[in-house]
Formats: sequence, C-alpha cells, structure tokens
Amino acid sequence: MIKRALIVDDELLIRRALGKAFRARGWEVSEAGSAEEALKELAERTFDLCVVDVIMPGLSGIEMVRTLPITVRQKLCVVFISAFPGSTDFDFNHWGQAFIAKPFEDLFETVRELETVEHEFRSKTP
Amino acid sequence: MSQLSRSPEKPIQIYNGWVLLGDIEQIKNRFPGLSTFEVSGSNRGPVVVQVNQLDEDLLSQYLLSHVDSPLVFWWGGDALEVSNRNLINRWHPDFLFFGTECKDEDREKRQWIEIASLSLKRKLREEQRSQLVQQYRLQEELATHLEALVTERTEHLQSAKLLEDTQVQNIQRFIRFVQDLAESISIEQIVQRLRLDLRQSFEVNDVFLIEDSEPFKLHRLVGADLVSETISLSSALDRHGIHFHDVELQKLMAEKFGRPFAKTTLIPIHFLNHRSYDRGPQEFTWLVIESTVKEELLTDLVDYCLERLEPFRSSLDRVLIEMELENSAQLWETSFTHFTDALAMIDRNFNVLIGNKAYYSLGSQQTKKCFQHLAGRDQPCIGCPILNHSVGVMTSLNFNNKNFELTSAKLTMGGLGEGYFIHRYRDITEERLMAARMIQTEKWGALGKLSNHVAHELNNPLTGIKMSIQMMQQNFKSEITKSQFFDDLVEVEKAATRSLSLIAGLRNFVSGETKMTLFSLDEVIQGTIPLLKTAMRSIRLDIELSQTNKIVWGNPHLFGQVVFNLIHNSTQALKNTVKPTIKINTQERSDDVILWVADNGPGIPSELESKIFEPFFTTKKADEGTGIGLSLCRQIVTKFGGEIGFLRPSEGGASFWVRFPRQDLQ
Repeated sequence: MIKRALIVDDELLIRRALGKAFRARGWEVSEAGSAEEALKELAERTFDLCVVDVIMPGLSGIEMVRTLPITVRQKLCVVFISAFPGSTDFDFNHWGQAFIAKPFEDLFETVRELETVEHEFRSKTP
Repeated sequence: MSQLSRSPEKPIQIYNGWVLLGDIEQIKNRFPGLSTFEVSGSNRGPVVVQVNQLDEDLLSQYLLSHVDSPLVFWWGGDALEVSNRNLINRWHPDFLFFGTECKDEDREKRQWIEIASLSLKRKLREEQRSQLVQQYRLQEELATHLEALVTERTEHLQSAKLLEDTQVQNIQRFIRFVQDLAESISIEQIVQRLRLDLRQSFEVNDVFLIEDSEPFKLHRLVGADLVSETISLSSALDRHGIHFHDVELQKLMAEKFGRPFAKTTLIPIHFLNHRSYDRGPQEFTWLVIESTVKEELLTDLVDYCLERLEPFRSSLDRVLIEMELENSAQLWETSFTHFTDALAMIDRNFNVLIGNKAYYSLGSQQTKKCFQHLAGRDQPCIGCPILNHSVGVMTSLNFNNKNFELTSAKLTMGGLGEGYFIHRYRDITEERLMAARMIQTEKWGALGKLSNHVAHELNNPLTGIKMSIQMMQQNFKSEITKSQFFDDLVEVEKAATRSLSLIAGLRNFVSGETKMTLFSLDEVIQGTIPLLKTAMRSIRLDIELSQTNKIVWGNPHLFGQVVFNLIHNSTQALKNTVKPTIKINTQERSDDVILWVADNGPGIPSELESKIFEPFFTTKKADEGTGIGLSLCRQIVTKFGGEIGFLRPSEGGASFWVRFPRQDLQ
C-alpha cells in the first residue's frame, strides 16, 4: 500500500527537496506552503505522515496540529521540523511523534529517519 | 608700861633738831654740851627717849616722822628690870645706855657724839637719797613720756603699713586671680578659682552656677567636675538685681546636696556667647555663693564679688568660645577623618598637607607626594587636574589596579593664597565593572536575539538549498558523474554547509545559556574561529587541534567568548606585524587540558604584565576596546575551575594559555 506524506513548510526548496526524496522512496507526497493549505489537504484526504515546520507565517505548525480533529490526529504521524532554536521549548511529544532541527545534515538520512518514525508510530497504533 | 606712859607735864621739846622724850632737863644735865651738836637746817635730829618717861604713842608718832633718825634710849637710873628691857629692845634702838652703865663719862660723851655724827650722816644720806629719788623720778617721767611718744609713732606707722600692705595684698590677690583665670581652661577651673579666692577673705562654702532656663539648670562643682542637674524654682528670679538669701533656693539646694545649706547670694551674669553646650552655662546664668558671712559683711562680699565679676565672666566667655572652637574643630576633624572616601589637601607641587584615614589607607608608601603615595609613581598621574591646571572637575584615575573617580576643588584660603586643592578619591572600580558587565550582557542579549532571528531566517533557505543540491546530486550521480556541473553543485553545497555552521557558531556564541555542562574544547574552538574570519583575513592561521576530543567542564558559550576574545586580541596586536601569524593548539596532559593562543606580534611589555588581567586595563583606543575582555576571560575560566595566563616566548610575541582540569567521559 502506498504511503502518503504531507510536507508543510513555507520554504519552497525544503518542501520540494523533501517531497522529491520521499517520492524517490515510493511515497505519495502532497506539499503545502502554509498551515492553512495543509489543513485543506488534510480535510480532503488521509495521510500517513505529516512533516510540519513549526514557525510559518499565519498559523504555526503547532496551531495547525491542534486544529486537527482528534480522529484525524490519532491516525496521523506528525513530525515537527524547525530552524528556530526556541522551537524545542514546546512539548512536541504531546502534539507529534518527533522533532528534527533544521538544517538537516543529509536529506536522505533525514527521510529514512522520518520513515522509521512513521513505521514505529504505525506499529503502535492499530 | 605705866612707867612709859607719857606724862602731860613733861612735854616734848625739840632742841636743835634733837627730839628729847622724857625729862628734858635731866637729859640736858646728863649731857650739858648738847647744844653744840646742833644741826642747822634740819630738825630731824636723833630721838632721845628717856626710858622711864617713855610714851609709846608719842614714840611711834615720832619714829614715823623720823624714820632714819638714830634712836637713843637713855635712862639715868639703875639697870632696867628685864621686862622693860625687852620692851625697849622691841624698838631696836641704835643706842641704849643706862645710868649704872654710864660710869664712864667720856665714853658716854663719845657715844653722844657718835650719835650726833650718825644722825648727821643719816641726814646727809637721807638728803642724798631724796635727791636721787627726785632725779630718778624726773628721769622716769621723761622716759615714760618718750616711750609714749615712740609707741604712738610706731602705732601710727604700723597701722599705715598695715593698710598699705592690705591694699597691696588685695591688688596682688586680684592680679593673681585674673592670672589664674587666664590660665584656666574649663568652666570647672574658673568656678574653682573664684571659690578659692573668695575663701581667702570670706567664709564661703560653695560657689556654683545656675543657668536661668526653663527648668533651671544647675552647674555644680563636685570635686573637679562640673555636674549638671536640673532644678525647678516656683518663680523666675528678677534678673536685674542681686538676691540675698533666697529661701526657696536654699531649701532646694539643701535637698539637692543632701546637707544643711547656708545662705545664698545670687549675682546675675550675662554671657556674650550663648551657644548651647552640654556642659556650659547658657546666656543668662546666676552665680550662686553659699556663705556663712554675717549680715553686715554681706555687702563686702558682694562688692568683692562684683570686683571680680568682669574677669570671671569674660573668662567663662573665653572658655565657652574655646569649647565652641574645639567642638567645631573636632566635628570637622571627625567628619574629615571618617569620611569614607579618601580626602586629601594637596598643594600645587603635589605635596599632601593633610589626608584622612581613607586616603592614607589607599597607598602603601607614606610619602608626601600624592602620586608616590597613591600610585607608587615618580611622576604625577596622567590626567591629574593639578597638572592640567583644571579645577573643580571630576576625572578618572587608575592606580593600584583600581579605578578612581577624582573630584578636585581648588581652595582659595585666606593667608595661604591659591594653589591648594582638595581631592576626593572614590573607588569606582566595582561600579564601572558592574556597568561594563551590564552593557556587555545587554549587548550579548541583543546580539543573541538578533542572531536567533537571522539564524532562523537564513537556516530555512540554506536548508532548502542544501537539500535541493543533495537531491540534485542524487539524481545526477549516475548520469553526469564527475562533470563540471556536478563539481559546482558540490561546491554550492559546501558553501551552504559553511553558512549553516557559521550561523550555528554565532548562535552558540551569543547564547545567553550559562548552564554548566561537559563540552568539547576543540568543537567550541572550531565553532568560534569562523566568526573571526574577517578579522583574520590577512593572518596566517595555524590551528593544531588534537584528534582526541578534549572534554572539559564549563559552559561552551562562555568558553566560546574566551576563545573569541583571545583570538580577537591577537588579531588586534598583529595589525602592524609583517607575516602575522596566530597559532592555536590544544594540548592534553595527564590531568589537564591546555589551549594555547599565540601570536608573533609585539608581545606584552613586562611592566604591564601584572595589569593585563585587571578590569579596564587597555592599551587600545577608546573605540577599539573596553579593557574588560581579558578580565572577563579570567572570570569565566576561573568559574570553570581553570586558569588563564600568558608566556613571553623567546622568539617574541605573546602566548596566552587556558588550562582546565581534565574531564574523562565514562
């Protein structure tokens, strides 16, 4: 079964690079430039993984996750990414499954890491 | 006795000075030539008593008037019976002859002649004596008269002298009194002098002062001390006159002194000075004299006192002024001495006239020149207001590794003229250090915020760039490996990576985080160096970091600042150096880890060696540095349990080292 990932980041290059890397590994990827766009996507279809930037213009990544209906959230593996050092202050474990700080050392390694996180999440939730 | 009683018919007759008592004829017959024994000019001849005719009364009467006349008892008959003889012997006659015993006529005649001559002798002697007596009386009278005269003169002279002496004595005593007063240095002494002086002439018990205030304040001399107490009189005393024997006061005094109190005389004294003192009388004061002087002598006592009142009052005045002066001087001196800031009065040649405690404790050398004492210099301090002829200014001086704010004021003193300065030195080292640290903290804080923002804003696109390139590389790997295009991509990625690590380093460097942790010395050094790239553009950097990861205890951000400061200092020192080089290396030893930052610049002059770690010590221009860099470094390193220092390598330049205790990762 093909996995679906939603990449939410206001930085187009990051979005694209991540999207390409995921697609190269056989994922179906949707990209969103803001939290609002992402919420629309999430409302339209189901995703297995959501990689979301914390700090974005408009709604922040956390606010976006908070807005999600509990039924959606329970089945979605959320991983936060941020370039802002203060981002670790919030309890990302409560709202998501992992936090990865930008910049990433290696894109592909990061993608593999994200896959692992999703896999672990999937094995926990039926 | 009847035989001796005088018969009236036989009167006493006197012949030529002889007194014949008895039968005159019979006596004459017995010695017919009796008349030849006449003694002219005198009727005091011998008294011849015929015993059998003896009249006792008559005899005694004659004997009284003829005291010195020879007494002759004669009786013509036979020897007298014994009783008569005894009677006659009682009269102690000069001659005694009886009829029976006078047989020899010649002998009797001789006896009569003898009697006559004896009588004459006696008469003469009597006359002589009376003459002598007369003379003596005259002399005596004269002597008495003279004596009286002498006595009178002497008495006169004596009384005159006595009067003069008393006057001289009085004047002398008065002069002594005034002299004593002049030598007195306290109110106690002055009152005591007056008391002693009064006691020489009057029966005075005690002398003291009562201050006329509300309530009355009593200054009483006890021993040598003036004791102050307060008393309350029911009514105020009239200040214009002298009071004799104020009964109420007497009672009060008796109560106060706990003894019977003699009569009091109160004399008002006005003082010129009316300052308030703890121990001195006020403006208006009563002089109280306790005395047992008789009523009629009281006016004498008062006159005597009034004579002395003026010197007494002016002496008290003088002492009060002296006390005031002393108080002021003491007050001034105490303020000056105990003022917490250092104060000194300095002349234009930098000689210290007077300094306070704080001033003298500032310096070690107790010399006259201020710069020698304070800074141990041979020359005046740079920026000294005396040197610059600027007065009334505040300036900052550095000595003894401390920073002082100097307030200088020029004095214009009467007599001394100009050229004196009052200098106040305030140690502002801590203050400035604190201010500098605050500025530093604020700077770092602002920079921290800014760099966080910049980091985020740059991180995002840079991450995008990097990832895109990675993506491209992945895609192109198979097709155009080793192509020029691919190499470019590698370089672009490297540039992005470098940018990202610079941002990371900057963020670490300015992080306000001060939490102590274990960190890698080499990592921090590597993260810090990129921040100095611009400053080190023209400098050859020789970095030699060991392969092993040296772990120390501390805070990486703060340590980054230390590394930054040391390297930055070196870059500044190397400005005019040909082939500038900075060598950075770390060294690991058995129990410590050492970082060396060495440059080939001009090095540190030996005279500054001891000062470079002091706050605000700087050789840089005002816009180049604050002078707290190295002091902060030392502070940070010490906090980590480490040490900082420097060496002067033989080949020149400066070599700073930072040593940390080694921490091994378990």
